[in-house]
Amino acid sequence: MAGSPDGVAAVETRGLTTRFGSRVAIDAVDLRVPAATAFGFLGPNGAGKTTLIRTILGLTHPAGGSWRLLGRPMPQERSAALRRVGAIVEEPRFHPHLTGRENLRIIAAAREPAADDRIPGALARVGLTPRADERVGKYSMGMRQRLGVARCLLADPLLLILDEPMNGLDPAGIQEFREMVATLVQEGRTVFLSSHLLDEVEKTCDQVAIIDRGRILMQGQVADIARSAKPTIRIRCGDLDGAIPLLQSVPGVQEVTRDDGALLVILRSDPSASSDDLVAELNRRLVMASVSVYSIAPERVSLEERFLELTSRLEDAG
Amino acid sequence: MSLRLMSAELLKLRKRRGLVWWSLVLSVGIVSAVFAIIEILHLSSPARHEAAGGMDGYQGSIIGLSLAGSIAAILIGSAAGTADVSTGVFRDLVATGRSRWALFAARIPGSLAFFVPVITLGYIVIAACSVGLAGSEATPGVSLIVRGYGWILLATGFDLLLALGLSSLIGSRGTTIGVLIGYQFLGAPLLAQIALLGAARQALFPGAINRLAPIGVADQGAPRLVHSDVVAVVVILCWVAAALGAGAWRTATRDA
Repeated sequence: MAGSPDGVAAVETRGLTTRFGSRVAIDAVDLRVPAATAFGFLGPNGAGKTTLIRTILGLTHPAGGSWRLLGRPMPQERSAALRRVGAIVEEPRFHPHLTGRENLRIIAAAREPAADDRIPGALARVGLTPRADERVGKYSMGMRQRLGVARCLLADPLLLILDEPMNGLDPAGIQEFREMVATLVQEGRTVFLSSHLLDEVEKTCDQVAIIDRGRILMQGQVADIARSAKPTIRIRCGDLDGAIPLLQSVPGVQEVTRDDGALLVILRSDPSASSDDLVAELNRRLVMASVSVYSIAPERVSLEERFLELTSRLEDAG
Repeated sequence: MSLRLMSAELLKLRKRRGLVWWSLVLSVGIVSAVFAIIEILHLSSPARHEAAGGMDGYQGSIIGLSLAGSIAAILIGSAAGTADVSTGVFRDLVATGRSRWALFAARIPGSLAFFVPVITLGYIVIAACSVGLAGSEATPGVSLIVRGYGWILLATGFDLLLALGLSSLIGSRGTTIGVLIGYQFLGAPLLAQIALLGAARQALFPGAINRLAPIGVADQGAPRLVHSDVVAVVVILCWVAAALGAGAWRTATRDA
C-alpha cells in the first residue's frame, strides 16, 4: 500500500508564476492537492493547465513562487520528490520503433532498479500484456494512453499526474480508467487529473481546481463547487410573460429567464437570506396574481455549468 | 555511469532497422564490395589487375572505411543525440527525476557500444582480405593492423562524438548530418587551401585526425597542416570537449 505522511499535501504551490517572454502563463498560483485523493484540474484550452503541470514537474523554469511535491521542496529535492511521481504530460509519447515493453524498459532504466520488476505488473494493470511486444507505432491512441499510465506505475507512484488521460479511450476504456483511478486512490495514492471532460472529472474526482488565464479561480470538493453557483429555481407556471415582471420585483431575485417552457429564477447569493422564504415569496406573488403554478424546484447546477460560469465561457459554449 | 541507462540507449539504437542496415552497408558492405570487385577483376585478368589484398589494398580500403565509417558514425551519433527529444520521450525521462547530465552522459557509451562492433566488423573484413587476398603482394604486419584499428576507431569515433554533441545542442538530426558531412568533405578541405589562415588551419579536425594516422595508412602524401602529434591530440580533445560540453549544456537547460 502506498501512502503519504499524514497532513502532507501531494502538491502545494505558493505564488507559482511562469512566464513565456512577456506573457504570464501561470499567475501566482496557490494550489493545494490533498494526498490520497482524485483531484481534477479543469480549465479551458490555453488556461495554463499543462504549463502548471510542466512547471511543478520541473520541466520548465518558473519565474517566481515556490512549490512542494510530496512534501519535498522543489527544485531543491527534485530527484527525491520525482522518484515516487508518475506523470503523463500532454499526450503520452514513445519511441515508435520499440515495443510497448521496450519503451517501459527505457523509462525504468532512468528509475531505481526495482522499476524493471514492475513492468509486467504495470502492463497487466492497464490490460496491455497481450500487445506488449508489438511496436508502439502500431498502437491506437487508446493503447498509447494505457501504456502511458503503465509507464507512470513504474514509479510505484504516490502521486500520478495525468494530463488528459481519457483522450482516445472508448466508453469501456473510460469506465475501466475510472475504476483504476478509484483503486489507486484507495491504495493511498494521489491522482492529479487534468481534463477538459468535465463530466468525467465530476464522476472520477473528489476535489477539483478550476484554472483560467493562468489563475486558479476556485478549488475544493466537486459538490461544493457545483453548489457554490448562485441558487437557481425552475418554475413551471401559466402566463410566463406576466410572471416575469412579478418575479423580478421580488427582493433577492437577480435575474429571470425563459428556459424550455419554464422560468429560471437566479437568486442573489445572500447568506443572510433564506432561500426557502424566498421560494415561498415567489410562489405567493404568482398565486396572488392568479398565475397558475405547476411546479417549483431547485435547479441542480452541474460542475460543467459552474465551470463555464467561472471561466466566462458560457456564451461561447452556447 | 548507469549501466541500465547505457543499455537503454543501446536498445534505442539497435532496434532502428534503417540505422542498423545503413551502418552495416557503410562499414562492412562497402569494403566487402570493393574487395570482391577487385578480386574478381584480378582473377579474371591477373596481368592487368593486382590482387585485392596486400599493402595497397589495405591502405586504400582503410581510407575508404574512414570516410564511409565517418558517415555511419555521424548517422549514429546524431540519432543518439536527438532520439529522445524528437520523439518527446525526453520529457518523460526528465520527469523521472533523473539528472539531465546523467541522461546525456549515457548516450556516449550507449552509442559507442552500438558503433564500435559495427566499425570493428568492417575493419576485420579489411584485415582479413588484405592478408587473405594478397597473392604475392606484401601484407600489412600485425603491428600495423593493430595501429590501423586504433586509428580507424579514433577517426570514426571522433565523428560520432561530434555528431552526438552537435545534435544534442541543436536538436535536429538532419541539420547535424548536413553540417558535419558538409564540413568534413567540403568545408574543411576548402579551408585547408586558404593559406591566409596560416597556422589557424591546424584547428581543422580532419588534419588532426590524419596527423595521427600510422605510417602506411591514409594520406601520407598530402601536406601535413598539423605540426605535431601533441597539437593534433589537443585539437581533437578540444573539438570533442566543445561538442559534448555544448550538447550536455543544452540537454541540461532545454525545456522538456
